[in-house]
Amino acid sequence: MLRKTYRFRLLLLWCSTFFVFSAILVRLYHVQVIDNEKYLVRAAEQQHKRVTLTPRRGDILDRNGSILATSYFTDTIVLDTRKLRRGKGDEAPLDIPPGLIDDLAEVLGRPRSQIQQYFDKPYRYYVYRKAPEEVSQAMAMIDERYDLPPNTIIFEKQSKRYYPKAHLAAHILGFTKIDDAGDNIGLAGVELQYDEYLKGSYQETQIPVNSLRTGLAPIADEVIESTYGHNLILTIDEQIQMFTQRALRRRVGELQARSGVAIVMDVRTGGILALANCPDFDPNHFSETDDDQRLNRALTDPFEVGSVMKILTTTLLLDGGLLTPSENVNTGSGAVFLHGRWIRDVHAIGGWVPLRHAFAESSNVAMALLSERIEQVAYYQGLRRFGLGSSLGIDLPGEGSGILRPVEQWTAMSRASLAIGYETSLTPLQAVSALAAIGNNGWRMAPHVVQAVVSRDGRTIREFPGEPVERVANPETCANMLELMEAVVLEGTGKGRAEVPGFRVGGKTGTTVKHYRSDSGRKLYIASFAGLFPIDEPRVAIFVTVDEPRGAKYGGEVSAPVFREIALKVAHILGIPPSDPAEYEAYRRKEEGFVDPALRVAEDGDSSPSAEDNGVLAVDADSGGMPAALPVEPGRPVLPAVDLALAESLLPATGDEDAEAERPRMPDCLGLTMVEAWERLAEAGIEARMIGSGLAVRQDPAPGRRLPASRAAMVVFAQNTDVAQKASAGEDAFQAQ
Amino acid sequence: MRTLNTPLLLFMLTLALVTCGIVAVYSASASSAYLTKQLLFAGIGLAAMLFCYAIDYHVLKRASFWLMLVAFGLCCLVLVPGIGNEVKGARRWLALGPISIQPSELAKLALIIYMAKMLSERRAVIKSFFSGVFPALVVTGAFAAIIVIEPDFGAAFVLCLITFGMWLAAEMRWFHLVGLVLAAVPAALVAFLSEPYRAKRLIAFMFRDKETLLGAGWQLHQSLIAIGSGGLWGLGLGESRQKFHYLSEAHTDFIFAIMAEELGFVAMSCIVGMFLLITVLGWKVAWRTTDLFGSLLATGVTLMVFIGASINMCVVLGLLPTKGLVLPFISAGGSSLIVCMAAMGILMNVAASLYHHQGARAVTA
Repeated sequence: MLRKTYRFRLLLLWCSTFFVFSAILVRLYHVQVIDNEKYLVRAAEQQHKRVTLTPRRGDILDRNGSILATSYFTDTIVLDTRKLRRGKGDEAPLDIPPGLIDDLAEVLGRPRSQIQQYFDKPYRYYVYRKAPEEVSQAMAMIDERYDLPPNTIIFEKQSKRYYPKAHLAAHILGFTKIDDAGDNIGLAGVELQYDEYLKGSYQETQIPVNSLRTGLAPIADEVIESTYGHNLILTIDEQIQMFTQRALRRRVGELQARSGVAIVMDVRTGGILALANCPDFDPNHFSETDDDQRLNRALTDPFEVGSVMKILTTTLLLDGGLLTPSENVNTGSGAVFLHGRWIRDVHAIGGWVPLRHAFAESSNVAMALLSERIEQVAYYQGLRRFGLGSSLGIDLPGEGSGILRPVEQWTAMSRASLAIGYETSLTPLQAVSALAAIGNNGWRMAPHVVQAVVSRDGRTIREFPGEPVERVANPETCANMLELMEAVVLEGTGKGRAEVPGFRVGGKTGTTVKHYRSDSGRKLYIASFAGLFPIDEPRVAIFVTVDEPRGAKYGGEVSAPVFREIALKVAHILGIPPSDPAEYEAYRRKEEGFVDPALRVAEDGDSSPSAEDNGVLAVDADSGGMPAALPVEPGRPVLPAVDLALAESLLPATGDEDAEAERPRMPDCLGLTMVEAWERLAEAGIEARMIGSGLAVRQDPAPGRRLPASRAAMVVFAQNTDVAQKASAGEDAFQAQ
Repeated sequence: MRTLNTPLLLFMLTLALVTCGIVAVYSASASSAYLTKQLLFAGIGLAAMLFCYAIDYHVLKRASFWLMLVAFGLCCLVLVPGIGNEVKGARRWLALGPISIQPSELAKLALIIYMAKMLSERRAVIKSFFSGVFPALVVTGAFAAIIVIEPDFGAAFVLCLITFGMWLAAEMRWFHLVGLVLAAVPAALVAFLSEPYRAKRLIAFMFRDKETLLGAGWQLHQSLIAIGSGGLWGLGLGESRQKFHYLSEAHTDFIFAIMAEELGFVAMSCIVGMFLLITVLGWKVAWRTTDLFGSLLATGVTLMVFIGASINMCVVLGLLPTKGLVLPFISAGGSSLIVCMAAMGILMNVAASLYHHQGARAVTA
């Protein structure tokens, strides 16, 4: 039996137990429950890092989904030499591993002295912006080999804008400049116009970090992708655009002209299928180009279209019942004195001739006399309905409005002048739009280049179907106009130059004297051709104008051949049925499977094709070729640097000649840049998978082989591997030490 | 009052805490290596516990002197360079092949047993300073000194506190007890001021401003953030954020904070409650045992668990200055776990004797 004192002492200990545990529980409750909010805030503060997400700019695609502009992420490499300090404090000496500076100099491709400077004045340096994949990898390897302190070499993610088709549709696409996230500020073209949709959102997110500020979990893909911009789908057709651009550039080159514009518009929707300016530029290197190259003349440059105006005048006369298609009209003696001025025909016709004949031969006299029949106000209003004198509101920046003086300022001469295309200026876009209205049964459609804005997961954000603006004429009038325009090609000024084998076409030539006596003493012209194709059921309106051609001056001889070439391609690409299939077939057979004339010139002509013959899309020789990596499809991350052995193993064995003789033959792409190869393949009608970057080193099938139906063609590109080799050499050297 | 079987209850509580500890160690360290080790230690601990339960605890009385000698010898051995494992400037571990043991943990239990024997034998002369107090003081002082030399101030402090509690229970005179405390103050001050980091920690504890938060007060600050963000229900098992380098010693000294963060107030109340229950049951055993040796043994073991648990919790909660002490049964570490489980075996053993001896019943009645 224990004594009472002993038990009293135990009771004391027993009490202390309750006292201590009660204190612990109260404290626990206080910290955990009452102060919960406070500590949660503190925890969140220290356990998370705010990270600004880098949005990826939306892609721009043509109407068939082919990529015209895309973005991919590159690393901007930061070297923070302060991290190498041996101790704490700003004066501590750097601990530089032997060989590091040499390796850095080699990988970064800079002189050793320059790298040395980074270490002489320790700081945070941006040593390589938008680094190619292999430089990034080599730097990461250095980081690992030398076991540098954390955050000595930092890779900042930045997106880079890339236009895989270089010059293609450059004036429509525009270009971008750099901001914090990379190339993400639209400066021109749809890049500017649709910047809000393309640029995505600049969001911040919080990621959990440990006490060393190292992220504990990757940011969720959904979060990252929610910042990405929307994609644009253009009305542009990549193929039509390419051929349009090429045909125009070659013609401008041949005639040593100052500039040229060609537009192909879908008459039913007002959508632009192709819009070419010459000169043009490569948006990948827009800073190296000048204003002249970047100018989108199709929208900005109004000019006197000359006889093309006769289309509008005649339409208004017919529509107002002031003229009947079967009427004979007076062409005078080839010249007429009207309101104190002589108006002359280029080739005098003389006397009263059918309207068809006068129109086909583009008689200025007849048109000037006929214009007297229409009231000034009615004439003015009619031209306004066609869209003259105001901008059409196309979804591209910088559109001009042309010139059409208000009717109060007109003189007695004005109607006659307007009728033959003077006293007013149209932008090429206004011209093609007015023409398209006639091809669309009199309904003028709003011109546009963007068909839809689509989110990355395929939801349609906005859609831009054809939108009718105004009725310019009755369908009957339009039908009559189509006949008159066909006459131009069949028997008039466009004869022998604008015909497209197997199809019925119509149009109107236009030649304007720009300068009667220029500085060079030469008479300067603007030669245009406005055509509808095919004329029996117009699908596209094509307008071609060439500024200051040499050697030839008339719209018929200068621009009609360009129209013809484009129309042939359009027929092929859009699959427009020929009105005379037999003739079309014969033509195709004769032309050896629709080989582009430009290529034939290059092949059988001289052995060294000029840049012009090589096509509009040739990459500038000094541009350094292609960017480091190429995304294969929209939304996909960039491909890593090509592993040649792997790429080779991906290629199916060559040599299984396919029995189908119908299949296209594979052109020789070896040694070409990606754009060149793409162009050549497009010509052959082959869509190939392109892997890697640099110059083509392998292809399947082999050159000249027919492409089997069973598999897709493939071309493998490889970069000059100098950098990678240097990096691995450095690695060996280090191991030797 | 035999509705609940005390030894069985103690056994269950111990197992429950050890199980919680294994889960918590795994979560806080996020390492399966720790899990395997802790499971192995728990297995050895279980064997030790059952062994201590199965023997007649009076055997301990006879063995106590030798046990104490061995423990003291190990404590000395730890100071020998090459044998003792030096970690962060302190020799606290004995390297024994792949595992290392902490003799100061073993010393605690050995001293408790020896002290129980000594105090029960000198019951008659306990009021006398030279016959009663002095021998106990010498033995305790020797252990405390050798442990302070390691240095492990915290362990020495806990050791002294346990024996002091036993002296209190063993009816030492208040005059002597208070006198000892007063005498200990200068000694403690000397020990305290000899190491600057101890003073720093105390200052950090007393003045919790921004500056100290980043220095000496960092651990406490992080501990409170961990506990405070737990709330009523916790962030969920394994969801602790503070274990990612914010809170050092997350799986040992500060495991309570990580548990609190993951499990919340409700679950942590249960953990505290289990420690409380073990302590209360311990006092019950000490109260009812007629055998003074058994009673003092129970008192010592109970004090060991009580003081170990409460000091650790108070440190983690900021009620006491930061001291590197493990939480019994729960923190990672083999020595503490095995010794604690063995001690619980002894407590169960004494408790079981209540039902075996007639005298026990008489007391209950």
